[in-house]
Amino acid sequence: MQHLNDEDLIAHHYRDADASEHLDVCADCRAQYETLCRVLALVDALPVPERDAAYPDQVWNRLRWRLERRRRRTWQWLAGVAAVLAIAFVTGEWWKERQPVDSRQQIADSRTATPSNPATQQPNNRVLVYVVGDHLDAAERVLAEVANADPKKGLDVGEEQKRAEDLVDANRIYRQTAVRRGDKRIAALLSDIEPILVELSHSGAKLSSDELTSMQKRIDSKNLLFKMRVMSAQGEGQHDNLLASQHLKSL
Amino acid sequence: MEMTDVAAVSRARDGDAEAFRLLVERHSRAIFRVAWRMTGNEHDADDVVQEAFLRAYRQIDAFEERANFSTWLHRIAINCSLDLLRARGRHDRQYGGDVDVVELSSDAPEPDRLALSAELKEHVAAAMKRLSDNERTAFVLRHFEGMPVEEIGKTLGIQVNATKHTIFRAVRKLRDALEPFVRSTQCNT
Repeated sequence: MQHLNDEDLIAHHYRDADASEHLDVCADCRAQYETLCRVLALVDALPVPERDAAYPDQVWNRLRWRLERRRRRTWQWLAGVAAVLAIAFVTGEWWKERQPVDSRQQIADSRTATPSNPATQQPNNRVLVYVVGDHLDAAERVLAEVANADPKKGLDVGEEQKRAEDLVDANRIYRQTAVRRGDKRIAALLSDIEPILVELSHSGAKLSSDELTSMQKRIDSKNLLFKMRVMSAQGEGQHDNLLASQHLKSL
Repeated sequence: MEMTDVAAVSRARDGDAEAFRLLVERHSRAIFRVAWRMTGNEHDADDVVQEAFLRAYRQIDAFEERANFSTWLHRIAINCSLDLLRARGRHDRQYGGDVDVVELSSDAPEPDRLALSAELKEHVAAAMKRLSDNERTAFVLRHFEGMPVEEIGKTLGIQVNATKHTIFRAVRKLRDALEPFVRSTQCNT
């Protein structure tokens, strides 16, 4: 009779094959198999170190810190990108102001030549709306945290505070640019947001119930979240138009 | 009513940290067990638990709701363990030297009726550590996790036949190392 090899015995043990018939009649193979079982039982008996009931909390506390740090890094990156875009935009505006009058006139003429064509309408305003769209997106998330908090409990604003600090400077630059360019709608919205961002960036680590309620009323009364969403959506649309017009020009 | 894992994942996707915390509470100890078996080291296992949940959080959008969250998380933890083992080159270190084998008396108590003696624990742990990373992983997944051979192959990135041979090699090594400590007694066929 041909005996089972190691692979047959192991496959039988893990139910990948059935060697029961042979094991029933072959004492040698049965002895081999029993040794294998005993060895694996030893491995099973090796105790796993216990982790007590507090372990999930310990894991969560370490994890939460890492998740927050990761979120913060994302926000810092976004704020950095926003700052670079803002600087590029303001530099562009400044450079244009320094162009000879004739060139500026030509630019103005070219803008007004075909006012009915959206692809050629005020390209710089479209850039402004697009760039501000990203900024409004970031600011909206901060204000949404405040607006959605439970006023009875107050709000721990440690994280929002840092984000607000980053956003205040960018907001100021965009507002000044919008005023200078005569875009009243963007300027008004940024003016409404700015005091809330400033207040958040200077608040304590926790907003009391009264402070939170007051801030929520200000956000609600001016319908700020809605306006910000609309403006960001327009920014995204402008971006698509801008790409389309650039593509048309390149043809 | 208690929130299901799928509901908790859905809420975690929307930024609900408490929902993700619930998943950590439910699964961290089980993940620790598989991580410890894979790495053979408590500190490494703790690191794997952290890393597994962090990866799960980052990849949570990739989780398909019809799947089982525990299985998905186990898979992530196994990959984290493999990454950790490979990064440390454990394989090379472990094959650098032999582990001393101490003969136990022939009347050593039967393993299924006792907690292992400290000495025997060392022998079993040493035998596990003698396995290569792939052997250990394949063995842990087949023996403790009950994972099918095909799935183990996918996890390790090897063919089914190679996976089977890896499991066979692991079991043979364990048998060769531990056979002196067991007595032949009846076991279920």
